[in-house]
Amino acid sequence: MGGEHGNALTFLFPLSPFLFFVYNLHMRFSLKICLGAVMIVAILFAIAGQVWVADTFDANLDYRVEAVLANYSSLASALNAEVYGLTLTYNAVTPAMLQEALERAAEVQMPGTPCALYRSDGVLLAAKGGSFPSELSFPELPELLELAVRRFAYRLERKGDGAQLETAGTVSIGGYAYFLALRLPADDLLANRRATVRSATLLHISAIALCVSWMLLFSARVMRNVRRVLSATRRIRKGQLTARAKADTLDEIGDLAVGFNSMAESIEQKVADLQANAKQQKDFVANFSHELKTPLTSIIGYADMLRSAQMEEEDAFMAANFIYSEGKRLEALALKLMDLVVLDKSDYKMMQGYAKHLFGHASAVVTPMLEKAGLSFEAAAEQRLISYEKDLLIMLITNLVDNARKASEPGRRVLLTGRQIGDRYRITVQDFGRGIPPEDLSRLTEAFFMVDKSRARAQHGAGLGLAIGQKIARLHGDDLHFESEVDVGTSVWFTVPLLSATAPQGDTDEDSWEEDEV
Amino acid sequence: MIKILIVDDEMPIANLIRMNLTRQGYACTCAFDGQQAADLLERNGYDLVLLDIMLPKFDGYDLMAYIRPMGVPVIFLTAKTDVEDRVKGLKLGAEDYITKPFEIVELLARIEVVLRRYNKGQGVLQVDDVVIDLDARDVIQNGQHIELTRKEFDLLVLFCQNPNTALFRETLFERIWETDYIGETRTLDSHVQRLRRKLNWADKIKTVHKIGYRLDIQV
Repeated sequence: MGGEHGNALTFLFPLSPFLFFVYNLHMRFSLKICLGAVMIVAILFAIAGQVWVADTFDANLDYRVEAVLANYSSLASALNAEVYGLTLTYNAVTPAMLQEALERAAEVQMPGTPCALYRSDGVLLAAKGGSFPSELSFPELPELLELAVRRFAYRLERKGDGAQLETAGTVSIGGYAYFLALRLPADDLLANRRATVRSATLLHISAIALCVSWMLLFSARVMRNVRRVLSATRRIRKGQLTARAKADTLDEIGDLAVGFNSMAESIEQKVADLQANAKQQKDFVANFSHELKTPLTSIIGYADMLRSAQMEEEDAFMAANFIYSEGKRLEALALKLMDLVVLDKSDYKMMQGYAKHLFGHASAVVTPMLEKAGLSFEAAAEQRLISYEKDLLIMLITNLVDNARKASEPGRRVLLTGRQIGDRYRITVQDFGRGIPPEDLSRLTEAFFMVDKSRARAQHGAGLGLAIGQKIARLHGDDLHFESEVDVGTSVWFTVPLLSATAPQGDTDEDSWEEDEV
Repeated sequence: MIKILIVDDEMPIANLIRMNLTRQGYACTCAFDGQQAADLLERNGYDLVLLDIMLPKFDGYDLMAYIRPMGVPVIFLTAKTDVEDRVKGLKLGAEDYITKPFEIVELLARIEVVLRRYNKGQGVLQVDDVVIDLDARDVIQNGQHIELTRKEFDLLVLFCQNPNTALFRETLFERIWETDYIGETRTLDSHVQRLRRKLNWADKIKTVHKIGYRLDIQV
């Protein structure tokens, strides 16, 4: 049944393993998705089409057979009646009588339909129209004789483009069993089936076409985001680190793009950090070499003059003096550089102590220096238990106060204050001096940076003080912070860890804030 | 008199150069920042500018761009040793680029070369009874032409440019043979010997014990 149609569509079945083969092909993924989907649709529609064609045909055939059955029984009873009439007239039934009875019954019941009568052993007795085989050859004949399961058998016989429905059933004529065979035209059944096959094929093709176009659109859309990620990777590989992938879907591909972007972000950041770091190191080396070569030039030059030529006593003294002062400058540079290197290498042990204790030590160091410069000094601290490295912190405070001194005119004040801010303890050094230009504020902690180089030189500065200060502040978990206004003053602050948020018991200074000369 | 402007924010270095150039007979002025240098250039004409790069106010490159239209030759004098800096300096039109620390003798020689290129240098050196034509590389003593080899000539020029100054063996080697002094003295000694003989200057080119030689000239 349906063999013809099956051949047309079942060729798609072997495609199913091909699905996995497609997956491994070197082609665009969108095409793979499309091909895969098309194959599935093709196979499903092939199966559905087959079932549809077969079902329709079977239903039509059954309907036809039902109709034949009605004709068949009426013909059988008509035949029986004819034969009965003949037996009333004649005593014996001859083949000629049977032939005549068949022709008459058929003429009345179903004119134009070929029919034949067979003996119960399958031998042809009489026939009307059409050429019937002399021997009836249905495999079901024995069953029919027993009247057990079926009452008649049928088969579709093909002849060129057309077909005939051949049926055979038992009839009882005069108490004897005979086979009655009918031959009915069935061309329309085949034509119907062909029409169904055409419809199924059309449906099949449209489904595939629809699937192809829809899948192409869908996969192109899905793959657009993937391609965006891909193109971003390509641009990044070419060194364009700012490249990002646009993602507008909330699925794994969108997640991929988001993940990729955040990866690119962190890589760009890392590269920028590395570059900044490299530039910083390069600048440091360049500055350091400049700072080293400048005093060396003077020392070598003056020494060469002294050893080569007769010089006036005054000139010779000046030359010696330059050698001395530039040598001192080199020494200061070497010492500061040592501080800078040592601060990088060592791990310092933090001690705990009271803020006023620290301020007392720092004041003792800076007061003489400020008095000599004609500046007044005020220190005030909230009493708290803090954690710090004493020598380093005194060094930092001294350095900041010294900077304040250098920036201030005689008669001005320098303030050193300490107070609790949240869980940190903030130490501030404030002056009312010449201030720092805003464009220099961010560079203050760069090694060798000097706001006013000639003034710094005159004061033997190497431009390393705040670079060292920054390292010390970082050892205490903070940076140096600067606030400054030109000709108004500067305040520098940093914080250290606070160990106890309340003033110690028994201390008279329980107020949260009070001026205290330490 | 050749006028030279020294621009360096390092007072000791500016002073060192000034002292040495003054001894050579140049008129020197010092400027300690870019602004001051620009002002001086505006007011006075100079034959040569010695220019540091890292200067307060405007740096040496800015100043170079300012000086260039004036046609005054510039020698950069800087601690920056990067090839990029050197190339940048020369591209901007500097005549030479000397890195710190430098030898005074070398500085003087380079200044001399640049000035001569601008026809401002002492094309003819007269020392005692000897006249040296630097461009023709010719030496005349009392009207007599003196035949000298190349190295002998260079040696004589070096002595005459630095009279009454002790020239160390290593300095002489570095300047004349352009190699590092490695303790070998015979070549230098034999050249000095021949120079003394040819010019009859045995009493003028004095051996300074354990140091080198000095040309003594009564001023």
